Amino acid sequence: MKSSKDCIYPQRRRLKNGVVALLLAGLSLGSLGGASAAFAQDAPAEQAAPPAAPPAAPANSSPGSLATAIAVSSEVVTQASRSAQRQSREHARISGGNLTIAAYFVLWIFVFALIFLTMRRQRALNQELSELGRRMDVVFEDMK
Amino acid sequence: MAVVRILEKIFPVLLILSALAMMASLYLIFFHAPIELTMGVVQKIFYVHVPAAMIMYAGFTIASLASFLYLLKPNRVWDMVAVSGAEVGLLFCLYVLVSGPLWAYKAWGTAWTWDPQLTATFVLFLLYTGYMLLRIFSGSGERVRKIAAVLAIIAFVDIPIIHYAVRQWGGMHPVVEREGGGGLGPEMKLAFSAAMLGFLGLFLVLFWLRLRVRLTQQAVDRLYLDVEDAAQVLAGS
Repeated sequence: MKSSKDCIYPQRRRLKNGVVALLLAGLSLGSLGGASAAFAQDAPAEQAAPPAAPPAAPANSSPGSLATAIAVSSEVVTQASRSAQRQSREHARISGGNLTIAAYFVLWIFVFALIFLTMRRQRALNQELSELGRRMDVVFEDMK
Repeated sequence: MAVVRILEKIFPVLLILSALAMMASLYLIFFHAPIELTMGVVQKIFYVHVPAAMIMYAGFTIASLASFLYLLKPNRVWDMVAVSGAEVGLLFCLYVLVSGPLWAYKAWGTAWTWDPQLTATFVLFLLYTGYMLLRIFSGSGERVRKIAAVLAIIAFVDIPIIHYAVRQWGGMHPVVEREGGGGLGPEMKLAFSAAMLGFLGLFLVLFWLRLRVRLTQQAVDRLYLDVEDAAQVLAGS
């Protein structure tokens, strides 16, 4: 049995990480471009991008800001992949064998619980039935 | 009733055959069918998850058909058949909702997602739980039985929705045999067929056990009335 959607979650996670990285890269090239460039050139941020100055457009971004954007996005991807690895380690802690055993165990618990409850009720009803039959016999004896 | 007497006679045979089929299916699942390459051992949940879903369909189909017949001709036997079918169906619906997430936790990385097929199954569970609660807490009057019969018929509409949910709306739920699924290997198919047979036997056994309780309950109720009548006659004479 093979499903193409089996690994959809890791794929989705990777896609999400990629999208976040791209967004951050875009932000770095745009509004944070100045600050990023300053950071890259080891200069004070105010000097490179004063607060009152309009955000730098991507077209104006220097190769330095591009390098910073790439560095930031690669850091984001690294952090995201670490987080994904941590999650998958937690996920792998429960083995497939244990899940399979649990599924089969639950099945038999359900089946035997239903059988047990049904048989107990059936036994009680049978006793009630025989008791009523005995009472009917007494009533008929009295009628005679 | 002649049918009940015949069923009572064939029940031990059915019980033995079902037990044998279940044991054979467990052997085939764990010792004959290979371990699936991508999912590993967790794929073996499939051999009980799908037959449980089939039993769920069978139970609820019987419940709705018997309810329909009860509405046409209010015979208590149809009502008892409907409740017994719903009880077994509900148990296996609950099992489907438990075994599915156990598989999905490993295969999808999450136990539950609001996939159309999963959501529709959960809705079916809620509908028949409502049906059972109505039967348990509202007495056993004619009016309650008719309302419950209507509810069982309405709830049945969800079954084709579940079955065709993947085809209609997509979603994550895998398809194996139907709607372009990849199919099973010969050993897997054998284990799956044996499991289907075993579950069919299990369904018949459980269904008959539940129906027999209700028939006995009816006999007890009738006898109580007879004892009361006889006692009144005795007191009058």
